[in-house]
Amino acid sequence: MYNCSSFSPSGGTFSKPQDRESTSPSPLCVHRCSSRASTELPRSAASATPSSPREQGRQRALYPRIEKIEVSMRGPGLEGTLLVMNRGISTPLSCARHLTEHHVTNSALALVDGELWPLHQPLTRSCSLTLLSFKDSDPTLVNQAYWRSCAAMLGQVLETAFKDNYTVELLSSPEVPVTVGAFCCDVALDPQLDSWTPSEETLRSLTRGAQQLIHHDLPWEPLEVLPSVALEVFSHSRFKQEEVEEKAAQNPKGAVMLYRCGDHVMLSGGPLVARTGQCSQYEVTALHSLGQGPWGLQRRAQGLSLPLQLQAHHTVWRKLRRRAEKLVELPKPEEVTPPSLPVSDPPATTSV
Amino acid sequence: MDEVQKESSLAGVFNFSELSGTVVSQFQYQVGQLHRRTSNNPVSAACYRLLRVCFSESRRRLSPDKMRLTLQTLISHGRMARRIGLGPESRINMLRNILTGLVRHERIETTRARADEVRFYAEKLVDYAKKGDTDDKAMKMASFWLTEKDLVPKLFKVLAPRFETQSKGYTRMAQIPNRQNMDRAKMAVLEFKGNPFPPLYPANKENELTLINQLLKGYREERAQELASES
Repeated sequence: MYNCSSFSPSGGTFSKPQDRESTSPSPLCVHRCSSRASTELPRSAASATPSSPREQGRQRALYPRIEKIEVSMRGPGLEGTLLVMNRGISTPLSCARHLTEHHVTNSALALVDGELWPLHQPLTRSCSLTLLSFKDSDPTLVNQAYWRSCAAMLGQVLETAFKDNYTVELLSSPEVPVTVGAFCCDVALDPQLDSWTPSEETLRSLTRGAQQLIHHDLPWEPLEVLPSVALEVFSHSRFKQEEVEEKAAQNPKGAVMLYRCGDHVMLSGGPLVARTGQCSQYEVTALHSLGQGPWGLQRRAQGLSLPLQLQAHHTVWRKLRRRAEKLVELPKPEEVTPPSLPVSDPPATTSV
Repeated sequence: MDEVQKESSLAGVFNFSELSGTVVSQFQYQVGQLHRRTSNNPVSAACYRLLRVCFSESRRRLSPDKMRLTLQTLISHGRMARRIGLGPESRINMLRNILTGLVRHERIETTRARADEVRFYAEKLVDYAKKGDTDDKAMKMASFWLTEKDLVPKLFKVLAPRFETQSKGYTRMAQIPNRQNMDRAKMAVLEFKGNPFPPLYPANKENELTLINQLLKGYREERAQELASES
């Protein structure tokens, strides 16, 4: 495997002498997100890995015989296209594979009979299918899903970025509209890190972790499970278990949606886009602290991202980025405590 | 002298009535010379000579304002006109046929040089058509340039009203990839504007709802608020 010193010269706070961070040594483990092939499993996945493939296998076994369903495609140029697919096996993505490469690479989400459907979820009935992309005439739903996916990826990066002796508790990431300018992900770090102030270098190494994920082009695979399975998956986290129960109570079917990306399993408030590789520009812009909550010091990580199909010129990107550094205020006034620590103080030394 | 007879029959195709006698006699002399010199394929060599005479003739007769110079013709050392067809009359006939096709189908695909050449005549024809079908000259032009006479009403009733508001630029030409099957000629599409076909160029889609436009919208709103609060 890689060696810390040989990994990358700008490899972050880690391989350098720690004189800059005088208050506390950097808790970030830059290495974790880069070495996917490492033998040890990341923390959350250690408990999540055994039960979710078992559940997936059980759900697949519900359709022991190949049954055919008819999928009629909707969309420009696809009117009248009828695909004969396999029930419980074929996903909207396999329908797209029967069309053109353009549909495979550009569709982010699907509409099955007018209902949002993740691209990797198997179809269960004969239906009409619309493939949604970022360049549709009304891409609002896709935009929201993209924002949600980016927040999920940020959570995944945060969870794997810290060293083993620091616990990371991902709180429910708030749903923010796109016009706010940044997606955000709430996190409660270890009590030892309460006095830690993230530097610009920290954000940069988080960004690098996200870009590794993008580079690996992992799919977000959905799985609808009963709360009992989800509770088992999240047995390491009291907060997640509460969230599972809350979501199961809201859902009329009493089930929750889990998404798996690589080794990481997460809960999501709605469908995510197909793959991490659909992001192209991605940057973690800020890590604000929100003050004490029930789970310790709450922090809000923020980021900005754009998909492969809609890239911004670097001047535009810089403007958007500067805006994304500001703390995102949620509409709920009782949660937010506006005075926050200034995050991006440039380091005094210029040795970078 | 079978070849010479063939040549003379060829010359009959090209209507050499304007050619002066000296030129013709010189031409016949050159054909004879060539025949004597290139005995392996005299017909083709003679044809070549004949074509050269034709082109020099067409060059003399073209007035400079009708020639549109491209860069290639500009640096081609005296060959000022495009060589199309087998001679002046063949050129006119070819242009007539292509123009008739253009008026009938409103969008045609042909080689780039021909499309570029026909374009000028198509615009001129619409200019004449806009004078109305009672105009003598316009009718004469229409019946000359359109070899299929059922298109004459279309020219006056459909195309002329369509371009009433415009004074020029009735056609659009687009370059398309070279012909693949025969000679890899440069190809082009020529069309009348306002035709019923799907557009040649993709329409520029401005969508306010895409992700980046939504982000920029938020950015602009925030800037406007900041500026308002400053002032």
